[in-house]
Amino acid sequence: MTTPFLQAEKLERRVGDTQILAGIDLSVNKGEVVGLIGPSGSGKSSLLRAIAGLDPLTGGRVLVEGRTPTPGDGTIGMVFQQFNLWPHLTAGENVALALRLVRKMPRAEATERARAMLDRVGLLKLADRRPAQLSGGQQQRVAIARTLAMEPRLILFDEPTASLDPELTTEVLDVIRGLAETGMTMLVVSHEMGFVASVASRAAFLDHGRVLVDGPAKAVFRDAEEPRLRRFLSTYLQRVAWAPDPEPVPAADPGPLATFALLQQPAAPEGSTMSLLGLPPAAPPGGFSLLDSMGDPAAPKSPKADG
Amino acid sequence: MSVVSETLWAVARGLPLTVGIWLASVATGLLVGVLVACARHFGGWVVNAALATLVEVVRGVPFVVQAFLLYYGGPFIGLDLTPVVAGWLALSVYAAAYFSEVFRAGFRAIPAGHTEAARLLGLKTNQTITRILLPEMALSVLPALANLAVILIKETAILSIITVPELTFTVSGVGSATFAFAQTMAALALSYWLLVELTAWAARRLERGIARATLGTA
Repeated sequence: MTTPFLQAEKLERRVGDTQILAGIDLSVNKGEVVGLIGPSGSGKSSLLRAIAGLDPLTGGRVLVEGRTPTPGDGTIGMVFQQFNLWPHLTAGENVALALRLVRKMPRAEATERARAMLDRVGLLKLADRRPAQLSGGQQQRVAIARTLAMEPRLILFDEPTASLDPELTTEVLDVIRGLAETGMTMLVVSHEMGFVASVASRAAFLDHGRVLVDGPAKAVFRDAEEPRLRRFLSTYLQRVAWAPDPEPVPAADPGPLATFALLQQPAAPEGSTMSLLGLPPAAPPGGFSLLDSMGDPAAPKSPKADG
Repeated sequence: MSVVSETLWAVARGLPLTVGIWLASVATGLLVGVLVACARHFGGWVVNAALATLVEVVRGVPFVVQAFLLYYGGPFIGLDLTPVVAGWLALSVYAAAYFSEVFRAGFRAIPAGHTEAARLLGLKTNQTITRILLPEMALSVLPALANLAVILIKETAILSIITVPELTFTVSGVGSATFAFAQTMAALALSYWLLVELTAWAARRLERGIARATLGTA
């Protein structure tokens, strides 16, 4: 049995009377992409921040390849919801700064590498723009390039698309999806369930500072036996399923359980919530799925959920 | 000599020292002010509390009293300073206390994530301060800093009380000698106002320069 790449043991964080992390165990193997889902305040972001070493723990420990990482030692890179680009520097300078100051690269070499990184996220042409002159999606891609440039062993994504509109979300998720294909080990906190279901190899559902469900991503979404997870997913599905309906009066609400009946159907009909989640067996060739439409601008804009 | 020429001559003699002490104090005050703000922002609560107390003391005592205490009280603790050095030191300390609060506001206005991103990428605290935080806040703290610099120009007048031969000292000397108080005071007022306008103009130019450098826009 090999030791996991990342091992978080009994992570606890308490601030005053609030238990933010209540004994979280999580181990991640090299190359795994783990999606962290759960309601707001469940501890997803806190878990990432604890793993990154940004917030002090009141118990437990984090090991990456057997040793405790410290912020800035090059082990862990992080991408934030608010991008956190430095506004006075251009996109290229944002990527190059740490290469020059930390890696001690000569300016020309750092600039060259920064351009290569920006090219990787499709932003080479915008290297001389400042963050304020970029869209949110572009800013987040610069932030990803900035993180990639330092070649971290593990990348933590803290709701990378939560402040982006659906189109900008797509361009950022495509970049993350591409990274997953290169075998990068990643932890992704996201409310994009379809994305987590299709990209993550594993999903963990958190609530009140605990991991309630942890398993292969598709199983976590499809089986969803844990009652809290069912409730969480059903509200999400209802929102997604009826969101594209242009009519002011939505289709009759079948209730959470009916939604789950759909979710659990092994081969759901085209346009169902099942395919909305983008789970492969449910998406017939040519059929609509949330993920397909995200990748293809020509996909139908207003599919009706036939629940 | 007429009162006018005597006054002009007094202005010419006093102005260089006023400008000199002022510039030196602004420079020292900015440097110490940045250091104090950094120490308070990054140094933990003990350092923060200690420096906060110091800042409160300096802000809580009128500048004229501080200048007096330093110049006339200094010798009792072995600090026997010339008027000019005492004036520069007193004004620098005074300036540093106020400047530090402006920089502290600057630090606080920057989202914590900008520092966290730098930290995770491996930048040291001093690199984060000089390469990220200070340039990032430069444009927003400049008006407040310029405002203080302008106030400090006029505070230099107080140094005449500890016999620094600056503008107020030389010009009011003419007033006492000739009893032309109104004329000399008017000249004094005009001189300070001119300095203030020059400073404001320089600050506006600097603001444009910083905007170009940090935002890429004029």
